[in-house]
Amino acid sequence: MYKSTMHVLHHERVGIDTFLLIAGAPEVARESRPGQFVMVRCGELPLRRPISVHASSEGSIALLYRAVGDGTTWLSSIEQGQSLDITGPLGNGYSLPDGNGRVVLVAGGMGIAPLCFLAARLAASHEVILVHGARTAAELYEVPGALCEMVSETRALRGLRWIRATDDGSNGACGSALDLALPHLEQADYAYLCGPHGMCVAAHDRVANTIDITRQSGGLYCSPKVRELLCAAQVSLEVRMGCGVGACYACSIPTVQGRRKVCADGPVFRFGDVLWEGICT
Amino acid sequence: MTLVPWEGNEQPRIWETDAGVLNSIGLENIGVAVAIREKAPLWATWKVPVIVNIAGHTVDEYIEVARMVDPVEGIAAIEVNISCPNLERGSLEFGTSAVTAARLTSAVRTVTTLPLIVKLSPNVTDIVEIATAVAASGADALCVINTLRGTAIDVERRRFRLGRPAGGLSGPAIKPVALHMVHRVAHAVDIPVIGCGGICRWRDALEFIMAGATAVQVGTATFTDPDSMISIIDGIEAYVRQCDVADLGEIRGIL
Ligand SMILES: Cc1cc2nc3c(=O)[nH]c(=O)nc-3n(C[C@H](O)[C@H](O)[C@H](O)COP(=O)(O)OP(=O)(O)OC[C@H]3O[C@@H](n4cnc5c(N)ncnc54)[C@H](O)[C@@H]3O)c2cc1C
Ligand SMILES: Cc1cc2nc3c(=O)[nH]c(=O)nc-3n(C[C@H](O)[C@H](O)[C@H](O)COP(=O)(O)O)c2cc1C
Ligand code: FES
Repeated sequence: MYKSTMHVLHHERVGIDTFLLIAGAPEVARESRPGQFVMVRCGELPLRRPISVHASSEGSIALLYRAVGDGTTWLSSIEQGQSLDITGPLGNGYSLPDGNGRVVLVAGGMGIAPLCFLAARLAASHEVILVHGARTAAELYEVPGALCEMVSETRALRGLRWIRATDDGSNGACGSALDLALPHLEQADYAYLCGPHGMCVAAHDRVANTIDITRQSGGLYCSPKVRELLCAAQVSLEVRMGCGVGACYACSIPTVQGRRKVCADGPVFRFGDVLWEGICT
Repeated sequence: MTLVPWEGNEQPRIWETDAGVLNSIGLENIGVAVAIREKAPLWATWKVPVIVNIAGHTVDEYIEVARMVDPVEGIAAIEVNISCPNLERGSLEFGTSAVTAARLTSAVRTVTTLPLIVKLSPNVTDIVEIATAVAASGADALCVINTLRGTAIDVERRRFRLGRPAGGLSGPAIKPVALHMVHRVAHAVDIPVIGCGGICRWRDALEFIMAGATAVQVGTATFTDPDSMISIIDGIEAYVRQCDVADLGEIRGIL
């Protein structure tokens, strides 16, 4: 973990309230693995904000974030040439799948940020399907040109199979990322998830539901194969953080192994290990 | 640390306020036995002394934890937490009355020879009365203050921001309150006072020292900047050099 000053090389709005920030941070870039995050100091605000590493190579890291409150709105006002105080990389990151095989990544909303880093890393060795769900068309992510130019590893993202879905059907298929991913999970060897709490709870409901009720009701049932795959899937979690380094217990969640800290033991967990009922956001 | 592992409170446990932080951790910890077994050997190798903060639901729990940590190598002192605002039972219950605070301090005193610090709460009518009673019951030092009870509400979702209605407020927002209480307590007792609450920069630390603190603690500021304590130490050093202060004792409690 480094505390470092990163120099903003590029910052652009890539959606209604979504921003891509690319900054020079050689040590952090060298050590970052997919699924890890950095804590960004936002002006005079007492708490740093956790943001996933979206891409990293050639001494730079990229962050993809949505401006939702004081911290991220402050961040969005930073201009190229200014610097930022960050600590990272933090957390465990995803463990990469062995050998080769088919990998399905399920991203809800900003969950696309860490999963793009993983997808880019796996592109050469695996068949990657990236399923991205958003509320509406304007929130779907198209890999920006500047990202491909400045962080070369991300060029591979454009060659991957993307499946896009919106809740309102304004682009791609109508429905959730999870619904769209289900048929692909039938043929997958590995699954990775990142998205809002609601998406994880929906996936959990499917894992927990072992009765075939498809004919009577809205289809919570999924095949034993998918259930097993989801259970073993790696999921990265978002909870409110204080320190980001395992010192304050603000981010502690219940798991089958006992309580775990999202910042230090996670943010990536085995999906079936998380006791979803015990997490409220 | 507590006698058995504690699970802590429901999420969310932290919320940022104007110039402060509300937390409702609920003292989650691995329990005294595991801490002694797994952490203390590491602490023993550190160049800095490690002070353990202990809490309990009952006087007996405090006594037992103190008795267990007393002989452990790697533990330099005990800080008795009678000021955690995030529990239904215990901790702050002992810290809101001079009688119970004194009784708990005497009880812990009988089982340990380690330096004994008692950490006081600002959520009381008269902190001086409690401080004096604790000092007379065998405490070696006082820590002033723990967090102030506070609440935040999400008006869109019409619910509390934390998993419980209230949490403890820390950070720059509480500094004037903490400084005032340190000033009053330091002039009322003759044991050292550790100042705590909203200290972020070296100037803040010096304010506490001038108000009468012998040492200071820094909590929330380490979240904002993990290097803040180093900057505070460097800043104090630069100040004493520049102002020809030979010993901090020269400026301690001058106000
Ligand atoms: C490991 C991790 C990785 C993340 N990666 C990304 C990312 O790549 N892109 C992105 O857009 N967002 C990401 N988030 C969410 C992001 O941290 C929050 O959106 C952000 O902290 C909001 O801060 P704010 O000041 O703008 O909002 P406010 O609502 O004003 O924040 C107030 C407080 O709540 C905390 N907070 C608010 N929402 C969240 C949340 N969803 N998760 C955690 N803490 C929250 C803030 O840190 C702050 O302490 C991540 C969160 C975590 C835990
Ligand atoms: C996340 C968090 C956890 C805390 N845990 C404890 C604790 O376990 N025991 C204790 O005595 N005080 C605890 N405190 C209180 C601090 O030690 C300190 O008294 C208070 O935060 C005020 O100082 P500050 O403004 O420098 O943070 C905690 C504070 C925070 C923010
Ligand atoms: S945020 Fe402090 S322990 Fe995880």
